Amino acid sequence: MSNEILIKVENLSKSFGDNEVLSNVNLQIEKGEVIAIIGPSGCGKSTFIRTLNQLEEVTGGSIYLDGEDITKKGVDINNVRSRVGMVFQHFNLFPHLTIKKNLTLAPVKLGLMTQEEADKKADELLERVGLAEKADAYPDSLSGGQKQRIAIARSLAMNPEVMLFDEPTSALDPEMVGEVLALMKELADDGMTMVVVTHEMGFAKEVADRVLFFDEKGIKEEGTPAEIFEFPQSQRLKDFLSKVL
Amino acid sequence: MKKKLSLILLALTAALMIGCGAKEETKQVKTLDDLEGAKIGVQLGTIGDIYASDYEGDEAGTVVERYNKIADAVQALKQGKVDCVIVDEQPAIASTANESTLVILDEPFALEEYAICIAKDNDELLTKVNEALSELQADGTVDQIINNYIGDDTKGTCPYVSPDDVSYDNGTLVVATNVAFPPYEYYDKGEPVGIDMELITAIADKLGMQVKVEDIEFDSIINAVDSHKADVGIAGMTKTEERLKSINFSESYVTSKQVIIARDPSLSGDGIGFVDNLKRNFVDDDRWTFILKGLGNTLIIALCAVLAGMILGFLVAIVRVTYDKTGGWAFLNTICKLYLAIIRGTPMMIQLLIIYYVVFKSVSVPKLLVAIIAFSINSGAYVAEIMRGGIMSIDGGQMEAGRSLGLNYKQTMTSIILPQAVKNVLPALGNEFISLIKETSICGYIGLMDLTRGGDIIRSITYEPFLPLVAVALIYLLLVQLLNLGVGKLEKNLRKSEK
Repeated sequence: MSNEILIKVENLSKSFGDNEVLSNVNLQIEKGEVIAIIGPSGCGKSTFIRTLNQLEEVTGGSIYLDGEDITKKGVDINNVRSRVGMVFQHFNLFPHLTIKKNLTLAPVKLGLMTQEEADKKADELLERVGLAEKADAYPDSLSGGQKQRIAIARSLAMNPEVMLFDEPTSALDPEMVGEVLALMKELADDGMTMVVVTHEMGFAKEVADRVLFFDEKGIKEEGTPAEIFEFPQSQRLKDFLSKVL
Repeated sequence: MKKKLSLILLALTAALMIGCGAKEETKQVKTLDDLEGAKIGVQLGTIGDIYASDYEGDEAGTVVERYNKIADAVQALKQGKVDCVIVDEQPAIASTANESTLVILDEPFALEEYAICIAKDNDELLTKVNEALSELQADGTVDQIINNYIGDDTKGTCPYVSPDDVSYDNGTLVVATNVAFPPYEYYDKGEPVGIDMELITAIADKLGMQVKVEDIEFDSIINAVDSHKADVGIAGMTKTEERLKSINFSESYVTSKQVIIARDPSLSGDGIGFVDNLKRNFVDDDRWTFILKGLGNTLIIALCAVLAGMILGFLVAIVRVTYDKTGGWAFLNTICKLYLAIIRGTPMMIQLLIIYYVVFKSVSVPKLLVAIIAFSINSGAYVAEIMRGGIMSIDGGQMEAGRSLGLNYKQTMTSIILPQAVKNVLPALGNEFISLIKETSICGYIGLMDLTRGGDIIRSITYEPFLPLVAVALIYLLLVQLLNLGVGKLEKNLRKSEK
């Protein structure tokens, strides 16, 4: 792992009207690092990850990607997003397009690749996620686990610098969780920088380089998986772990 | 398909039987005195209407039924819906010629004089028309024209022929009339002919102008002339105090009588065979061409309006959704909301009339274009709301997914949201297009010959209500079925992704 800083979050705060959900969050993410974010519902972890590609605008503070402040006015947000992949809880595949078209739409529309290049890339990715035979099928014919694997492939088709996962397995039937986590682990092993909001403690323990425990509007505790899971410091984290483990 | 067809036929037969079966209590009108307490049929806005209105609501309970066409009034009389019809003498003779159960009472109801109407601010034309008229009266041309249409001995023997040396240097004389008033104006082989038509041609020849006839509803003629949609109105129109308030009249050119048509129960109807009737309505004088021409116009209007309405609706829907979702385009959104409120809050017919008579008052725009514009604007409002609903029904995650890949708002809208929205609202859009096709049947109000008016014109010539109406209805039915078929096919195609 290099020590190059990819994402830097400074004094970030976010409110919805009068309701402050994030306050004074600071974080640095190195290239190739895998960060797992855990915490109780409503603690702001989803909101936080969504600020990283500006699906949520911040109320205060800054976020730097490759040294560029992406919260500033006038920044080309579409360009930023094309470099930051995002995988959603509910997959959000485009149901009117074939699987392959789901993968090639954005790279071609944005002029990053020709249709031929995008098709070739899509074939490789579908091979990689083990769904090559579904290239011409439509999303509605897939199982949940397959959909999420396609969603991951769709993000990868953009050659992102970092991948954000917002509870990627929460909407899946239990027997399908494994296939998605396995794919994510592969990605991590290949050196992809990843930020994962998850309830899968096993995944956090095994794959993450660092675990952030979110509670009360920010990062309550952070450390290696061993530090967080075996030597939790705060009472809140102990309570939380006792409930989920 | 066969089953469907037989069901439709069954429904038609049932409707027919109900229509024939309903006999109301009727009164026989034999003299003028019998008018009190009778049901009187008239053509809306005519002198007959004005006279009959004096009886309306009296102690004897006289009722006046106003029809758009004399032909409709005569049919109502035949079917017992009214007891008598007050109408100008010549149209009365023409319209009862084929009706063996109807008689014209010997006693005339009133005498009256026909004149040409001209806008109040157009004294120059009024003077010229009067001069031309008095010259034509002096040299016997007026009598010649009248004799060509009235009088058994002279009928058809002495048509007016334009002199060879007429130069049409002074432009066009736009003439508003209602070509459903024989022998003053009626269609013969698709051309408007009659006393009024020949007379106005003779006058225009004197003025060095080319006649252009606009066939519109009788009660719209004064409006059309007043708003300069037409230069003159000539339609067997009597000079009355009421009309003089809004329009000027030339000197009168003919004296006519108001007469009463009544049923005579002693006469029996000798029904004309179905095939002969069919021939009389559609084959004779190539009357089917009215239907064909009308159908052409209906299709042109409907197609253009569907396309333009779609585009307009899309744009408005996108403005509205963008405002709802992002708060942008507040000003445009306000305009769009106003547009939706006005168009969806007023009847289509009123919109059409306003666009024709008010918006395009002083500009000469072809009626077909006026209709296309009016129907596009109307349809756009409905399509906009349908589309907005469709866009709103798409899960918010779709927009987020598109944006998270780096697509901008517009790209996400056009390649992700709209295709799904269109698929979802296709049945509703199909429904809107069906209404649109049928709604075009009001085009007759601006004198545009669409399918419905094509049938109406045949009715005004043959005085036969059933066949032209049913023919027109069947054509609409066929059009809608074809549209349904197309929409169904498209839907099936788009639903591929749901297998």
